[in-house]
Amino acid sequence: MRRKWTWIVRAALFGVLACVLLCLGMGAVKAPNREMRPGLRRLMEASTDEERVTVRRGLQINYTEQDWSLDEREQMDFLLTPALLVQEAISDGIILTYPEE
Amino acid sequence: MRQTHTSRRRLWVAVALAALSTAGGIGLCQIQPSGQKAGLIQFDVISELNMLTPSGPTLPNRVVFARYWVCEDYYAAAVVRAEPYEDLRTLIVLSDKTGFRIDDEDHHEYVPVNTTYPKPLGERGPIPVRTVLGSTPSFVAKTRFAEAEAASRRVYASDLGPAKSLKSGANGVVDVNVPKGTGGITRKLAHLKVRAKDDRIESMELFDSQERQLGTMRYEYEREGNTAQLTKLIADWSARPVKLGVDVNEAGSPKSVIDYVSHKGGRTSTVTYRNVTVGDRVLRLPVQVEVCRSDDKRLLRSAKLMTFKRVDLDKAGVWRAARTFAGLSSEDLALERLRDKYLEAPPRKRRPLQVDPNDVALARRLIAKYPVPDVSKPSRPGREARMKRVVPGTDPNVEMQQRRTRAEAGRQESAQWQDDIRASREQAAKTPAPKQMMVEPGDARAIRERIARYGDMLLPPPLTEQEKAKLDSQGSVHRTSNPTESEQEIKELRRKLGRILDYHRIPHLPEDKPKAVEPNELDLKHICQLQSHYEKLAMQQDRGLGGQLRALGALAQLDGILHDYDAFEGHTVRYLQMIRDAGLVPMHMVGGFEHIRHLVKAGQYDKANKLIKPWADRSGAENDADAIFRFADMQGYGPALSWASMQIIDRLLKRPGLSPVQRYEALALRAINLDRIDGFLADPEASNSGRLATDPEAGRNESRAVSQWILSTTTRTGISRMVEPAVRQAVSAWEALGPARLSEAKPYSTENMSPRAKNEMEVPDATRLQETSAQLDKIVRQRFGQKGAATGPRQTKQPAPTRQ
Repeated sequence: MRRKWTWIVRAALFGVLACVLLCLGMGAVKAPNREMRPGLRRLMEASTDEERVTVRRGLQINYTEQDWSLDEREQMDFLLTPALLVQEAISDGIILTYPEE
Repeated sequence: MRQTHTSRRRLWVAVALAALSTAGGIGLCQIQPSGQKAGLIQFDVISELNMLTPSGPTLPNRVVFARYWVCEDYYAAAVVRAEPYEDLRTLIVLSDKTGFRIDDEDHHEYVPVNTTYPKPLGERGPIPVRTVLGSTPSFVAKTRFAEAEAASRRVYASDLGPAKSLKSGANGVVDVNVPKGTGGITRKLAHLKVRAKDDRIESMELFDSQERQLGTMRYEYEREGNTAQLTKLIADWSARPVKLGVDVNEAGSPKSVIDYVSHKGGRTSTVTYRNVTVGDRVLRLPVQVEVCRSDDKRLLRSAKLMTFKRVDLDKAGVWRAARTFAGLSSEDLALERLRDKYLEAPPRKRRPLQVDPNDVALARRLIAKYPVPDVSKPSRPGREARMKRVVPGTDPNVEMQQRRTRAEAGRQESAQWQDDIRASREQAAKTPAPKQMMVEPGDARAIRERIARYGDMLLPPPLTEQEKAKLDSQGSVHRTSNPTESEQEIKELRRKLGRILDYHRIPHLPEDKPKAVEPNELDLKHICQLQSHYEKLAMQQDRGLGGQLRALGALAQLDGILHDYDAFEGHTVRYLQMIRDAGLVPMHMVGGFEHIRHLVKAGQYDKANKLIKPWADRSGAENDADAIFRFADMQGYGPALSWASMQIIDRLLKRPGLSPVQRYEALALRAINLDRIDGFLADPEASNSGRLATDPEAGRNESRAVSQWILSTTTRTGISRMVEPAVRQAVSAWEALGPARLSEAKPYSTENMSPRAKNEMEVPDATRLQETSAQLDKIVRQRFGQKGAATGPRQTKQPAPTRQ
């Protein structure tokens, strides 16, 4: 009789443990990804107001447009490069270098 | 007495040192590579500017034809032709010691490019952010700083004065501290490390005053007789921090400045030098310039310098020569008038509005009569999060806790918003799309009139006198006004009415048809005179290739006015021959397509088909694969480009030596273009819906012409049958890539991500190949029944094309 109760208690304990593990597992699967986005993390970790403003502003910027702008600057500056290269080549006392866009 | 003696001795020592230093400097002027005085030299340059920005729309390469006049004291440049955009044509620059003069007749109303900037020019300041293609003039105006920046890094032979070991043939590196600039010249260059041998500099590192490297120069020489001649100058530049101006107002002042990185990937510039006979002298001059990214060696831009000659002009004469060469002549202005009159004739005047534009009830009735699929997104929340303000100056721990609470609230609201969007999309997917209808003519008129009227009503009020004064003094005006309920209602009605035009079919309205304008007798006579004028210019070799192409372009426009397509075809063949002879292979592809498209729009399908075969053969055989893929990926050219690029890709695929990745990209683009053409042929007018709303007749005519052109050589069924095998072939090529299919060619798109989301998640931009894979993935899902969310960074672990 005692042995029977021991088995019942053990089975119940095992069942509870299994349920707990199952719930924890499901919770891990179902729980939304609470990891903070890296950009927001930088915003939160900013130590001064100034830094925070800079980070916030940086998060709103369309960097594709920035890359376009820098490309455009280089391309337009390149239009002067032939003139600057030839000017160095026909001027006395200048070591030839690349003017850089 | 003793003190006076000492100071005299000091003075003598200083004079002697100065003399020695000058003598050393003069002696070192012979060191290679250094310049040699010559007079005024004129030469022509063809610059190819490749648009390789990693993200954003693919744009065609630009080719700029310009003439330069250069001497030791000043230089001038005049752009005579630019393709495919004409936004740089007529640009003239003259720079001397006193100022930088810039002029552009095509943009004569724009002050920054029609003025003289006195020197010294000062600092460049933050670089403006370019958002549209038409903003080129503001960048052109800022080129003035390029010259000042180059001068600040310039190395003079006298800078190498103390490096006496250069003359003694030592092989070691010589450290030279560069003297500061005098007479208002700012020198960024402060320190040089020179490696020299036998009076020749082999390499040179340039540093600023804080020992930051400005760049490295390497020199290659060839021996000609007893002397070594410079053949190549190779300059390396690394990425560097830069200030960018954001939200630039009309006055050119940015509202805020951000730190960013310029010259990503580094730059390697190679200049090739050759002996050139100029007048009675032989000079060592640059003949070619190439600038590549240092990391992946992709060519960013190049310039070919040619037809050098000595000219005898003073500065005023150079300016006149530049104006004559690149400016607009009386014939050019006459051609512009004719073009406006005959090629860009405005549509007929619309009928006057028959109903009250303020009758909102009618607008509502129209919206109810023509239902459209609901694509509205739930509005973004954020009020709750914003309400949780952080109180500055409190305990740092409390402040941090407040920030965490606020961020958590924002995150929850954002998650809720995403759920709402998802739910609304699911709901929209379940709801059957309303049937597309033909809008009744009266309704179409009423809708268009209301859209125009509501647009006027929503315009912001004009600036007050106080605001104007503030704009003048501060460069910006901040206007905050919350839209009233009535304004919001008008805005919403306008949006919904616009959706009707986008979704439903619009009837042909008589007022949309442009008046068919034929040249009158007087204009015909004028056109004949212009034809003979431009014919002469097109033959003149001394105008350079750019000048000849500009004259050919004018002749083609006159052909268009006269509807003389035989002559247009002849001029196109001549144009293609000239650019092929000049070795401008990518320009042959882009410029040739523009001409063929013009013939298609005019309904000249036979002529277009006759030209497309040799054009595609040459483009497919002579362009590198990357240039072809970029051409096929260009935006804004519609199905005509899809059809034309398919012809080139078919030829590219026959070329031996393609890598597996190149072969896959070619097959993927072929499948994508076929899918687009198939969709377009199913309903040509719907495929051009965006244009139909703004310029209905032009959009409809172009769509009709392109579909008829495609169907002149094939059938709709034929295209439909080709799509699925093409998609399967592309998917097989993707699977055969091995590990590259989940890295280099993984289906991954950032095209539809908002900048904020991209920045918050710090996701890398998708490459062109990854975007192509994502498009192929979408087609696979649509065609083979793979349902799921659109491919994006979150789906990158799912190689969708394998799951057919």
